[in-house]
Amino acid sequence: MRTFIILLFTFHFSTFTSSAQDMTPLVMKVKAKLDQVNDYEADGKMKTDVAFIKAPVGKVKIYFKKPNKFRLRKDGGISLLPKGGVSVNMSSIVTTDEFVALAAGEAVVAGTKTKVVKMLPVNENSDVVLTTMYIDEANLLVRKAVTTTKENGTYEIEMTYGKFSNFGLPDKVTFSFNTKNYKLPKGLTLEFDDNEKPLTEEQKLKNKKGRVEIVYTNYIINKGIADTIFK
Amino acid sequence: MRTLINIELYKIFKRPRTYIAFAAITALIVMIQFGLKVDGKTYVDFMLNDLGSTLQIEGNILNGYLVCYVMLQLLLVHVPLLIALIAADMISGEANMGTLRVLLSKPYSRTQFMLAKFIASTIYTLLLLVWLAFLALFVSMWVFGTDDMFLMKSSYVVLLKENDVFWRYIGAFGFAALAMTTVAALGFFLSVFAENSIGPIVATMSVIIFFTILSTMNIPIFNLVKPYLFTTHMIGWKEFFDIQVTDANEAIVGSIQYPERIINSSIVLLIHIILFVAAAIVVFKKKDVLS
Amino acid sequence: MLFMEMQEIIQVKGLTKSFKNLTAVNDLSFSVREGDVYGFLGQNGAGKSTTIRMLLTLIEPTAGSIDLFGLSLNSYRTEILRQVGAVIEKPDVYKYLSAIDNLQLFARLSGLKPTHLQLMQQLEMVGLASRAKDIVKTFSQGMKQRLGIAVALIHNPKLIILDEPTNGLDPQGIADIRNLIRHLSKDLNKTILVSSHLLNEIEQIATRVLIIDKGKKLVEGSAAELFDPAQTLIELETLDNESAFNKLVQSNWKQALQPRRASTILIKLHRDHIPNLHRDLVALDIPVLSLQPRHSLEDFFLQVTSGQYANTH
Repeated sequence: MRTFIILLFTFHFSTFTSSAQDMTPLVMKVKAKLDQVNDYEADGKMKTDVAFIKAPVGKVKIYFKKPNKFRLRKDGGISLLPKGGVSVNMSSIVTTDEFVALAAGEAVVAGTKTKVVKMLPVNENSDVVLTTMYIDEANLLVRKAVTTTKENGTYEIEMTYGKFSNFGLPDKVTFSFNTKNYKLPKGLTLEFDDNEKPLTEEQKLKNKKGRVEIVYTNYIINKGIADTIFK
Repeated sequence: MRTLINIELYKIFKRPRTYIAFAAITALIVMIQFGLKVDGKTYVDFMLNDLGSTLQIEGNILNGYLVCYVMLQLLLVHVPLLIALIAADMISGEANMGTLRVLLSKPYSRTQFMLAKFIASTIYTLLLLVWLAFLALFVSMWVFGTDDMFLMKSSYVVLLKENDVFWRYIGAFGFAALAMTTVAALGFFLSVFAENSIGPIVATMSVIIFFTILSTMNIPIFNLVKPYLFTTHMIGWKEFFDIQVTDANEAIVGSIQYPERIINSSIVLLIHIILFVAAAIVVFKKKDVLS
Repeated sequence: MLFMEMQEIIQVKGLTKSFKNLTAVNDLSFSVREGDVYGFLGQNGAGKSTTIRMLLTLIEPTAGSIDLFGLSLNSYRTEILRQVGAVIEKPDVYKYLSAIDNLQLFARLSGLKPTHLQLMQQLEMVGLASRAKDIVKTFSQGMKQRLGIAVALIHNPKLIILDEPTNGLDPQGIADIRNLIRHLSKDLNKTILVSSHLLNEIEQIATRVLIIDKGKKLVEGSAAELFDPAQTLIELETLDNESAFNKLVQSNWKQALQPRRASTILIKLHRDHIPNLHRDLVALDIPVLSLQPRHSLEDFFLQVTSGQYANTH
């Protein structure tokens, strides 16, 4: 999870210096905007929406510090987060800065017109195969990002902005990912009579797309955060 | 009547056999707790093996609530055997010892005797469950702490908030009490027919094992009879740990997915108890005591 | 007609119990009066236990009626059983409890709350006071039997039913039980029904006797009548039974001679005349190997129990 968020936020701070095509300036502008934030602390509500998971909404606290320190802490309790992001080796992309940013037309994301930017890592060993960003050019905000990895499939991040859009910080982040089929033998769980489950439930279970949604309620920006929090 | 029940309880708790069940439960639970305490991480990793490839699960998963659930899952299948040990001996054991004829020539009706004996076996059953609850729930809560409950079912996972768990255990143990009383009633009923304890004890255990296997096996032809087996309904306590979700797949704290299943199963079990006990009394009233 | 004024404690009329392929008790009628020590005789399987179990409502009769204390057992079961104490067949107490715990338990079952002292006194009566705290598992058969009796008596019943109380006991144990029955009858005025398959046991204590066989009544009467000394039977064995018999036929004993049996000569006489017989046997120069007096009822009972009776009737 942590890395998935890192992935998310490192987009904002990546410096796309090399081999940028005509989209590089846009990406740079976005980065500059995000650079205003040195650190922040935020409250959030996290909702896990995976077909085979029944979980209540949980409160979380999110901490960030430049360049790439990130921590999501649940207010006690158990948190379920998509794992894929962990192995999306984003830091390698960031450090090597070897990207090719290509224009790929325009698209509308949640009613907002965006520029589609295809970003390809130059390094062949990178786990990331391709990242597609949907950038709201007028507000310099990333509305959506889709990353395809070699190991962990495709992830989609959608962001909605509100009060903190000036800092490039979203009000709501939705992370979509593919889940495997979940099944444990009934003999193991000693369930005998689950056959009469309503159809809608079955249909739900067939839906293999998982979503994690974080709604940010309160940002405290640039007030300084101790490094110990990230340990 | 009260005197009779007291006397029956006195007899139950004066015999060493009674404590086998308590000792067995204690040994099993302490063993499982020890194992999980020492090597729980491996166990959790194993459990999460499949899920862990997609999801990262953080927090104190192996907390007292989950430990209790794991133990109930393991133990509630076997506790019936311990209950049979006493309940199936209630009449047959007395017949075997020869004390039955003395009891029955005392100035109480046979119905009174039977009810007193059944109530006493039920109290024993309940005490066994209280002991089980104390060890499996409270000791586990103390040893492993409490946290949200992360529960893996066969086709989905349930995450219950920490403050949404305890009442479910109260419900679960209440239901388990009903289920175990059904076992006691069955043992009690079978004990009417024999003049030695072994027969009815083994018969009760066999019925439970046989039915449980039928209930567990996922074969279409068995599925037809499953709803009619009381063993199928005995695991209804698990329904307390399933939660409803909104259309947006958000769990509703404090809800139960299928409360009607709990009610149905409770009614089925209650009917079994009444039938077993009534049949036991009817048969016993007509019985010539030849032992 | 003193007997007629006494209350009938047990009155059984036409009692019948049929099991699947056996009629254990067949149209049995008898009555036990207050103060009786009623000897209930019959060989094993004659129907004694079945009868006793019916008296205690352990077995339901197929037909017939049972009244105890003048009340129908069917209608007044609880009231009647309050007044009855019983030991049925083998001792029947909880083996995992101590003697005193057993006694207390059964006292509570009878609605009593005896003090420790009362319990100890009861155990004293059956000679178990020193073993009060020991678990019954460690007891000998005789001790268990005595504890069983203590249990049967703890609620001070008017009627005591003892089914084969001396079964499995050594001679001392048998004597103890006999003395206890006498004590209960004479000193405590209990009415006692005691069953046995041994006549000599009953003979020594019973005031009335009932003999049954195959569930049917054979003989019922007072011990005084049945054990009439005039009905004594002598079993004589000599070196030459043939000639001895001939000599006796020609003597004064001719009238007393009974039909011959295999290896013995039987003479029926009053008990007081045995010395005369002795003298005459010597006078007649009969070489006597043994001379055994027996009661004729005993002889009769022996025939019954050995099956000879059944063959001839």
